[in-house]
Amino acid sequence: MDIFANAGTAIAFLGATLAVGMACAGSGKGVGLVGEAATGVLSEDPGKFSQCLILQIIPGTQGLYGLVIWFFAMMKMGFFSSGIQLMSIETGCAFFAACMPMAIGGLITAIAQGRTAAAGISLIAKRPEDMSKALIMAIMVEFYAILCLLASFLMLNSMGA
Amino acid sequence: MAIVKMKLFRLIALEQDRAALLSRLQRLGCVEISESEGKLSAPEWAGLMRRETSSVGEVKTQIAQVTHALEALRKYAPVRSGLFTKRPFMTEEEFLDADAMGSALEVSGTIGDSLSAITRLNTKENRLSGIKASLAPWSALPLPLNALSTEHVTITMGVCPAVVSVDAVTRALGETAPLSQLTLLRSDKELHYFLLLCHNSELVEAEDVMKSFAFSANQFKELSGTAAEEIARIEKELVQVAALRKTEEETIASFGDKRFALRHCLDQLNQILSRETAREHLLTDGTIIFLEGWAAETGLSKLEALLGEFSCAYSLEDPTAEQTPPTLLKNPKWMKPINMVTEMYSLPAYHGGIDPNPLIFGFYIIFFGFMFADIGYGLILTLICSIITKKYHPKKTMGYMFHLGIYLGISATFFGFLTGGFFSNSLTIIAETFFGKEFALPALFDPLSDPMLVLMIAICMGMVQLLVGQCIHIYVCARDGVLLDGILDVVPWWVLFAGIGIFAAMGTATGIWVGVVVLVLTQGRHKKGVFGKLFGGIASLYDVTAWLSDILSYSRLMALMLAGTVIGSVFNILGALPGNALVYALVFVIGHIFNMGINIIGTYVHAARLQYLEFFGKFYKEGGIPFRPLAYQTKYTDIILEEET
Repeated sequence: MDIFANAGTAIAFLGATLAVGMACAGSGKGVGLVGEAATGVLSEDPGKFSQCLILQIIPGTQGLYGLVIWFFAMMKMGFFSSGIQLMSIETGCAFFAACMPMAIGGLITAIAQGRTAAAGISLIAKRPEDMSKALIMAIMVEFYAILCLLASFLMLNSMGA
Repeated sequence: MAIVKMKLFRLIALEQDRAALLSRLQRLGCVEISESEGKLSAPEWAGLMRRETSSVGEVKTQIAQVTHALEALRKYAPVRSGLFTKRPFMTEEEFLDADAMGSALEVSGTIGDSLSAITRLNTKENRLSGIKASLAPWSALPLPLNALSTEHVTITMGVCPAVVSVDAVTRALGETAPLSQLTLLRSDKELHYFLLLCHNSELVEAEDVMKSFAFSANQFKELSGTAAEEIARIEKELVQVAALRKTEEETIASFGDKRFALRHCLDQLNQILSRETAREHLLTDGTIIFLEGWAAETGLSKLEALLGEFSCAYSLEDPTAEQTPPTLLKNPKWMKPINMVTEMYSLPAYHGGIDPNPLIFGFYIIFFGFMFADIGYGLILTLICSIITKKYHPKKTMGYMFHLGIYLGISATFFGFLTGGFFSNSLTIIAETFFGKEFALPALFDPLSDPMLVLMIAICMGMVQLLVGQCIHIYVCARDGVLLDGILDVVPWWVLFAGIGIFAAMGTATGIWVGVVVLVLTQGRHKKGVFGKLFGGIASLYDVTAWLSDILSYSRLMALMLAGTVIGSVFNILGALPGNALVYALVFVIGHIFNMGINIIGTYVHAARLQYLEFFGKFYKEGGIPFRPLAYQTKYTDIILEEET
């Protein structure tokens, strides 16, 4: 049956799509959270714009990591070079599984990081000199997104499709 | 390379020497004057002494004035300035120049006058604009605003809400007061503007009718012309106000070249402020002053030489265990930058602490380099930090940061050579895409193809650091006279580790059991009773999990090294996809700037975290209060202190 012949590819695509989609959704939400907090502070003190901007872009990295994983998965599937090859359901599932750390981790860490950075905004509203502390708190969350990126990447890297 | 010893410093001197003494102490910069408020709660002190008064308030006012003047200059005479301001060097004589301060204060006074003039002009402008706006609807009325009524007719200007129907008002007025006339001058979204002419005999009735339609009279008694004339006059006045404001702004802008003088003055005032604040900590009876504080041992000889010039009595005592002297770390200049890592955590306690700077210096730099391993990134980091350090000679934390950055960059470059990374795998990709050749930098190991090896190295580095931490614990215990405790805390664990090592190598578990028994026998020794000791020992076995998590924590060294390489290589591959050199260059620049940025912050934090949680956990006693001596603290200038002869 054709359905079974194509299912592997479809599952692999689904994985790659979720990696970029969920990570970007998380980043969007995270960046939005910080943006809301930052706008409030800026209405009082426009001079803090650059500090707020730096904190705001921090939760944006997960989306980028998601795109990296998507890109890597698609490359491994031959999307950019030889054209998509049909793959077995087993291989498709392996691709899917390899994309999951980035999808789930990206979604959740980006939102958590957004909250931390938003709290950091209220910290610099009161104590602008503590910018580095706010930054460090937010970056602590980044580590787990990086671990997800690594896990996904190493799994994809070992796959020869 | 150690925590500087502090002496409790008490001084009684003559009140007349006070100003000179404080200035000299500030110049010396090795005495922290503490609050002597507590003394006055004792009746015998309170009977003799009182708190020294000071002019902190006046100095603060002056500081506020100069700060405002500088802000005004930033607004009205902006100059382009980078992230860092270059600080000029001055000799002490130049710095302390009272004439310079006087003239700077004069300038700031003039600027302050101009600023308040501008505020006044702004208020006036607002008021005039308000009147102008309220006159605008009446501009078609050809009558003078204050002389509307005649002998028999009262003329009123007024408004009704827009919801009121004009027909209804006119009709109602025509029925009740036929000798009145209502003219609609203008309508907008909110209001109808009416001119009401009314014969005096019907005035009361007409007013009643109008009131029922929520009519309210507008009065412009102070204005004598017609609305149009008044508007023209106000406009002329507004132009004048704008011109006056411009003059004031130009006056401020003309002081643009005095910016540095003002900054210098601000620095001078801040030195006076810290002296005055110190003065508040003194006790006096009018003839003598009493001072208590901490003196750093490093400056003792100079301090005693200085005090010899004054007629005074002083004592220098070693602190007792109950007193908590402030902590000052003394390190060679090249090692000082690591202090910013220590400061971000907490300074070591004066009693029982140990200066962590020499201990973490090497580890921190190696860990950072390991995680950030890349020749390209390392060289850029070194270059940027060297240029900034050289050109702007930033001070304090900023200075430490960039100085440390030089070391970190060199370390990253070194590890880059080991992993063969130059902007990740950019050289390989470029050779492949644009020249069709295979090329790779020689490397000891490739993190992407052999992550397990990297993990092993990371864990080994972690174990080394933890063992060093334990050795330091023994050293600290030995220094504080409890050597046996130190050895018993640590050595049983080593027995266990050796047992695990033997098990891994030869498969015999005897060593592990020996280790467990030794731990159970030793770790509960501080508990009371045989059972207490036994259970304490058994409970300590639980710490095996803590050790495990400590060691595994070092896997982040591998994770971050790989992450940097992976993200970098993805940008390289991405840029090379279209096969266009220009696109590649663009993606390369943006991508690697991003990767460097995110990795520097991440690596900086995680290298520090390994020191704070894993390393310090083994030996560190934190909680030191930073030593804040009375000293020159400048923001805009650098003072060159000449040695006293």
